[in-house]
Parts: sequence; structure tokens; C-alpha cells
Amino acid sequence: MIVALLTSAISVCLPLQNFSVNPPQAVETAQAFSARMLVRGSAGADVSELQRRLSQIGFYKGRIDQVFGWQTYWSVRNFQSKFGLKVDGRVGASTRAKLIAATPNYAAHSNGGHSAGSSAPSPARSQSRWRTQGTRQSNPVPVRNVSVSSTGQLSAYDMRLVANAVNGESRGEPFEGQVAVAAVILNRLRSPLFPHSIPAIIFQPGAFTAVQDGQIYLTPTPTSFRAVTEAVNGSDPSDGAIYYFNPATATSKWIWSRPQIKHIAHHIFCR
Amino acid sequence: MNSRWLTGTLAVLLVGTGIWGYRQYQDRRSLEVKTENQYQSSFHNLASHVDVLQDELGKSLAIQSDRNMSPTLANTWRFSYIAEHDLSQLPLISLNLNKTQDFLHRVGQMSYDISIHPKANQARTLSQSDWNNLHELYQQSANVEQEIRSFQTKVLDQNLRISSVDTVRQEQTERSDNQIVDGFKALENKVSQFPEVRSESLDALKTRNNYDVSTVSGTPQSSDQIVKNVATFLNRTGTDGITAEKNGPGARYPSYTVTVQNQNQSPTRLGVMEKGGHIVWMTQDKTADHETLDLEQGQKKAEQWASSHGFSDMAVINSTQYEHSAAYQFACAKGQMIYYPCTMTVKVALDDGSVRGMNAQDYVFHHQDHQVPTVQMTQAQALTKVNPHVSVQESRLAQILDDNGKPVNVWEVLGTLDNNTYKIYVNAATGVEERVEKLKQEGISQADDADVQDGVNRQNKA
Repeated sequence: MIVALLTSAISVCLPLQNFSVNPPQAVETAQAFSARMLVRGSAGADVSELQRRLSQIGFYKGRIDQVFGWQTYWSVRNFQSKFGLKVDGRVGASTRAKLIAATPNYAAHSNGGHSAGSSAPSPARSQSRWRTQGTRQSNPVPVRNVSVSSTGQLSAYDMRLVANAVNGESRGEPFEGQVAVAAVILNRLRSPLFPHSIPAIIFQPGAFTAVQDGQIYLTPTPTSFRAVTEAVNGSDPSDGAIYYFNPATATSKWIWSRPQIKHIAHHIFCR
Repeated sequence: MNSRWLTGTLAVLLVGTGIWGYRQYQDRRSLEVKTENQYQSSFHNLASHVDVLQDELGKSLAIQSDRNMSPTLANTWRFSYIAEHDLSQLPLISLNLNKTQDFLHRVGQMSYDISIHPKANQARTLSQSDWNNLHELYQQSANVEQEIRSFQTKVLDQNLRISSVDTVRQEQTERSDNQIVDGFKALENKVSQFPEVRSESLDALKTRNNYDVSTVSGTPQSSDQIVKNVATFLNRTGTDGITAEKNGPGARYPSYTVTVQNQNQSPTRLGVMEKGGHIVWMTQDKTADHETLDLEQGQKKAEQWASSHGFSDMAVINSTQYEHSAAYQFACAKGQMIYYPCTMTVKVALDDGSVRGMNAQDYVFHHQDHQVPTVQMTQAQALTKVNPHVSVQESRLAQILDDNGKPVNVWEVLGTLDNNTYKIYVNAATGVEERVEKLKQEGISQADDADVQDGVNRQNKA
């Protein structure tokens, strides 16, 4: 438990340190605009700035969510078409330059300097990312977005719930073991033998010990989020398991009757 | 004087403890009652929902008109779903009531197929085989209802507590004198004796999560061969530090988990199919802490990696960026046509462009020498089948799997309506609208994000 807390503390500190290295008063330079190409699927504070600028001139009506999704994509295309640019939905140097020229009144949602390292400033309150891009320091807040496959999808809020479950169930496990626990929950969603929604699967009576003992309500660590994102993007180290248990603490005998697949750290995964 | 004080204090303490203890007892008791009430409510709901389900199924056998058939089967579908939910709310996961759960699911699927989502151009009146199937399901559900009702009577008469199942589980005993456990076991036993009802979609339901190994090329490989395969795949000169372990009988197909030790890095793990030695997935836990590549540059890396590792004729259909990494979803492609059953995901670290993960299970099971078919419908004809409220943005030929798991050639149409984006699949032979998907790609809004981050900080300080 303590070890888990310590490791998560370290993993949180790292990006914070990175951030404080980033000079808040970065100089505006021309080459800063030649920073990374933004396309559908891109994520980060510069995407938020793109969304804010587009929204200011009425091209974007969605939420400012750091994720270059479909709505942002069509807004960019509309913008490109209106401003005589090549319509490809990609935000490179020329689209960037046109957009900056079109939003002269854009005020970076800045409230001055950073409260050095005490808490991670939300990107909404930080400097204009586009201007600090030259330093190649990326956003300190882990961005969690949801990929969509043609088979099924999870909302960002379902993912949050899975992260809680993964954290409560397996935060002492190696990363691979956490991804496997997330994968088991997703595998249950595809099985006719389990409830058909993420909340119902997680809160099914007796399904998860972390629900029974309340550990699911602990705030998930960034590692848990990372594990869930990994599983949602198709990783399944459990090879299709729908059950798992800790052989040292398992309280019921029936679980041993399930056909096993493999061990990952302290857990045995089975069908 | 002193002793009087002492006695007085002790008396007060004793009474205080007594009151405190009684309060504790009351609190615990009320929590227990609350839990039990929830279980009881689910259980009695299950009984009454199965009752309704059975009545509706019965009606469907006697109905002749579409007009009445639709709502009746819609009700059957609805109540089977609710009954499934009721069952899942009982503390019975350790009893493996798979057959009962499956029975309810099949009733739902059958009524959904006939009434809610019938095949294109199929009348909603029952065919003889549909009628026979429903008749069989009706009789089975009558049995289920009877079993649950008699069990319910017992629960009420003898005042049985469903939460006692929790106690049995906690005691780790194989006690079989728990009447709740016995009651549900009897139900499960009854359902498992039912003859199987078969239809195309029910069969598809059964095989949906199964992978048919016969579609995969190659012969079974020994673990030595698999280790060599992996060494070649990862461009390593020798097999030092590579170990393969066979997965247990619970795996979906005979397969190995291979561990590759890396110098100064966490190991790479791979899933390899025994037949043909195909690499199914790969992952390495190494986080990128900064970005030097953008999403497009990362895509080039993913594409290079794919073609140099034998995944040819593939196109990127989706990409997602997260935490300085990017996941690219590939699909098999021939000419302008996309084959959705045949997909693969590749994860690229955006700091050095290395590939840190991939999953090619669907590729392994669906890859073949795809031929671009000649389709009856032109693109223009297909677009006339799209809802006129949708403004069409792009379209191309694609192959998808229909509800029964069969490949269908379609025109894939990307369109927008209000602020949303939709994918509409129009059958390229018949013009039938096969499926409509709403596309979402979103993050948690920033307010939430800040909250989460603050929460993490708080926890770490604590």
C-alpha cells in the first residue's frame, strides 16, 4: 500500500518537475508556430487552444476537451474552406497562421505565472501552449481520451470507473497485471454471461473485492488510468480472461474450478 | 467518598457503553436489512419479470397480425433484459448460473431478431421455424417460471435470507445446506437440461467470442520454434533471454506467452499462437516522457514497422494520442476498399518512434488474399439510400461483419448531422442500410481533469 502510494507519488512528480523547467514567459517566436502537426486523434493543450480559437470565431461549438475529435475535424475543414486553404482537416503551419490572424483578440487563458510545482495547473489556466511549443515541453496533465472502434465504445466516464476498479483491485500489481484486470472488465462487457454495462459489471454483487471493501472509492493513480487506456486501445495480456483471483487470498473454492490461462504477478487469470 | 465517585463513574460508563453498543447493533442491523432488502427486491422482481416474459412469449404464439406481434415480442425482449439484470444483482456470481443467464439472453436475442430488428425485407409474421423456436422457448420459460415460483414460496414461507449466501462464501466451506444456494442450483440444473434452440443469430451468439483456429494457416509449433520466431520478429540475433510458456486450458486457442528480457528495460511480452506461430500481441511497459514526433510522424513509424513485420496491405483507419504515445488502428485494405474484420493496433512511443505494443488478433484470424468485389450498386446509388438529413462527407467501399458474423460488402458513408459524425453502411448489393454508428472521440472535460489531478495530489500528500 505504502509502496504503491510512493511509486504513484513519484510518477506524479516527474511531469511536475518537467513543467516547472518550462519557462512560463517563453518568448514568442515565429518558429514556435511550426510546432507539431495536429490531426484527428491528436491530444494536448495545443488542441484546446485550437478549439478555443475556432470557437471564438464560431467554427467550433463543442467542449474544450484537449482531444482533436470528429467535431474539431469538421470545424477545421470548414475553417480551411472559408479561408481558402487546402481542405484536409490537418492543422499545420499555414492553417495555424491563418487561424492566429483570424483571432487577434484571443487571450490565452492565463492567470499569470505558475504556482510552482504545488499543484498541476489545469491547461485552461496556463499559458498559450502554441507559444511555448518551441520548448517542446508537452502538457503535464495526463490526457485521457477514448478511442473508438467499430465494435463498441466506452465513454470517458466509464473509463474513469474502470480506473477506479483497477486501482482498488490491483494497484500493487505490476503495470501488465493492471492492464490485465482492465482487460477482464472489458472482456466481460463482450460476454453474454455478464451484465451489459460497465457500471453493472463493476458493481455486480460479489464480483470484485475492491467493491466489497470500498477500496474502489480511492482516487485512482495515473498508472491505473494508463492501464485502462492501454486495455481500451486493444491490449489484453490476460489472453481473453473473464475471471482472475489471487491464489493467496481467494476466499472461495469455486474459482479454482475455472479453466486457467496464466499467472500474471499475484493473480491467476481464467475463463 | 472516593469509592462512591468510582462507582458512579463506572455506572455512567457502563450505561454509556451499553447505549453505544446498542446503537452499534441497531446500525449494523439496519445495514443488514438494507442489503437483504436489495437482494429480496431483485429476487422477487426476477420472479415477476420471468412471469411477464412467459406470458408475452405465449401471446406471440397465438398472434397473427404484425400490428400485435411487434409490441408483444418487444415486451419479451425488454423483460428478458430486465430479468437478466435482476439475476446479476443477486450475490450469486460464485454459483456460475451461466445456463440461466444464457437462457434469458437467448430469449431476448430471439425476440429481438424477429421483431425489433428483422432481416431486411422479411415479414414480421413468424415463419414456421421461428414459431417452433418460440414455442420451445415458451415451454422452457414456463419451466423456469415454475421453478422460480416454488423457490419463491419457500423463501417467503421459511423467511430465507439471500445475504446468507455471502456468509457461506466468506466461510470458505463447501456447505450445501444453504437453501438459497440449493434453490438457484436446482434452477440452473433444470435450465441445463433444456434442448437447444437454434437459429442463425443464436448460433452466432455462441461463436461470437470463439476464435475458429481452422481459418488460420500453419502447423502447430514447438516452444523452441516459437522462441526462434519471436527472435526473428524482434530482429534479435540469438534466443538468449527469450522464454516461452504455454497458456493453460482456459485460453481461447492453444497459445504461448513469451517473455523477452531487455537490457536496462522492462521485458517485452508477446502472445503467440501455437498454430503457425503467429504473433498475436506484443507489449512493453515503457512510458514515453516527452514527445519529439507528432501524430503524423508517429503514423509513418507505425506504417514502416507494420510493412517490415509482414503486415502488408494495411491502411490506418484511426489514431489516438495519449500520454506521449499514439495508438494506430490499421485495417486490411485493397485498392480503395477497407476490410474491417481484419484489423490491428500498433502503439508508438512519440519520444523515439519505437513500437511498444501491438495487437493483431483480428488480423491473424481474418487475414486472407482479399479480392475487391464487383458490386451491384454504384456509389451514387448507395448515397440515395442515406437519410437526407445527413450531409454526406466521404464514402468508400468496405467489408463489415453483419449481426450473424458473416462478411458483407458495403458502401461506408461518413456523414454529419448537427454537431455529430455518423458512419452509415449501405449494403453494396441490395442497398439495405446495414448499420449506423455514431462516432465519438472525446476527452474528459477539463474541469473534471483538474479535479482528478487535484485528487491525485491530495492522495499522495496524505
